Amino acid sequence: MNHLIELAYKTAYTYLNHRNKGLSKVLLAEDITLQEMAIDSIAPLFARNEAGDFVKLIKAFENWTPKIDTEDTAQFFVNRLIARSVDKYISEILRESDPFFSKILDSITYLIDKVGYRKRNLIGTTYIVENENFMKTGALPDSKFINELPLDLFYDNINIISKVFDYIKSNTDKAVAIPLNALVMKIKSVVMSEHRLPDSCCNEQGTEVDSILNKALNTCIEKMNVSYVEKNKISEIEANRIKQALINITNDLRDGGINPGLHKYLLEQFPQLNFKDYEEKYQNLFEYLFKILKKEIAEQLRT
Amino acid sequence: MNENNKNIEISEQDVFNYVFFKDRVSSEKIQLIEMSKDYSEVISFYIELKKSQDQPLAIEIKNKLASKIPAYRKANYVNLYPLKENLQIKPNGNRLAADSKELKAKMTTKTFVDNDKEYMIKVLNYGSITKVFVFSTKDEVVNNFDIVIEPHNLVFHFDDNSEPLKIEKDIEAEKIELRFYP
Repeated sequence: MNHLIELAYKTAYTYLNHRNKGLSKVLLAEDITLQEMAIDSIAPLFARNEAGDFVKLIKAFENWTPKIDTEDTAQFFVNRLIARSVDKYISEILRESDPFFSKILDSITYLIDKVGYRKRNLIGTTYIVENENFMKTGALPDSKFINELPLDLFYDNINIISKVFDYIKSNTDKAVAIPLNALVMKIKSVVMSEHRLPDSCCNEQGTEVDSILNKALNTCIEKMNVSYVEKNKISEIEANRIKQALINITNDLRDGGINPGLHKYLLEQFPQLNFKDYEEKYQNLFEYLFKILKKEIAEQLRT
Repeated sequence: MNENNKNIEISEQDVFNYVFFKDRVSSEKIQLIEMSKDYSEVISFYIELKKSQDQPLAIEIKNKLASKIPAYRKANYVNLYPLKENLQIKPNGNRLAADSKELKAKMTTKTFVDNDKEYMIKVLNYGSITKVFVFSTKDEVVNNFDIVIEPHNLVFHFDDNSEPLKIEKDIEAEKIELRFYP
């Protein structure tokens, strides 16, 4: 089992490192390394039930077609299993890390279901494809390709996917497939630059991004004042610096996120502080406030 | 390109096998994969994946795996390194000069020991077959252990050392690790 877990780790790490190169830039303010992400992404596969059985592994093995009966089919099975697990994990942490990403992903998922497109995992990435018959493995568009698409494809909320499909067919030799997370991130960067987030991809009425962020930020600061400043757990000076760090986070949330590592936002405001002091004195508080901020944004997006 | 090749679909498993198990891919598919630029990126990725799987893991990563995945058992490691001797032996047991090109060796043997001299491993190479014998210098039965052969990072599990490990190929070991599990 150790050998399989080590193989799974190495595979997950390579998928994260090579197939998700831009990930660290979009993981807003999460203090997590690629190694930790690789471990977290495979850990659920090795969970056991009360009887001690590796239920997920067994179920995946039994459901796999064609039957696994040779070394090459076994290795391909492990490779696919890990690739899917990594992809699922990435979607989850992107959702958790960024409420705007989560909101847009929901809208795109709704569109996929409504129009009858399909999702297909290929080489560790979920792609939107037109139908079940999609068979291509080569020339798959990547996040760089999506990032470089003309902006006007992304303004028509209802037809974003079909417009991107049409563009690929008419202007490129690429396979007609859209990497889902890359598309969501691209849409996010476009709508954030417009400062208006569509309520859904089927509704032209938008919500003011700044208004959402400001409301969430105010709630978060209020929470800090009540729970920490008024109870003399932190001073006014400390509170002001933490407030500035939270403002910087909301700015990055709006602009697309550029500074992974939550602690970096706080250390910017406390130049004398080293990482060890941060861990001892501020980490719990700051992570708690960041969680409140994300929760508030998510709630605003739901209303 | 052959006209018939146009109807052949290259699947994800074909490209995977092209890198990991090329003998499992038909010549028509190999030709298609090699002639098209479409697969170059995926092939590069799988080559990276293959390389990464041959790399040993750092102890810090093993510790993290053990802390987050209960099924991963943290093992006690014993590293064994080759003794300076590297003998070539004829079937009748006579030793041959190691650098003699005139005499063809039938078998080579390499002995590995750990710093505390608690374990000894003999690697006997018969050309197309390698046998690995694990001994306790205290003459005890060695139970529940992995043999890791470096630099190939070949891992084999054994319940005990009553039988040698047999590998159906010529293995040149530089270091051997024994992993014991609680």
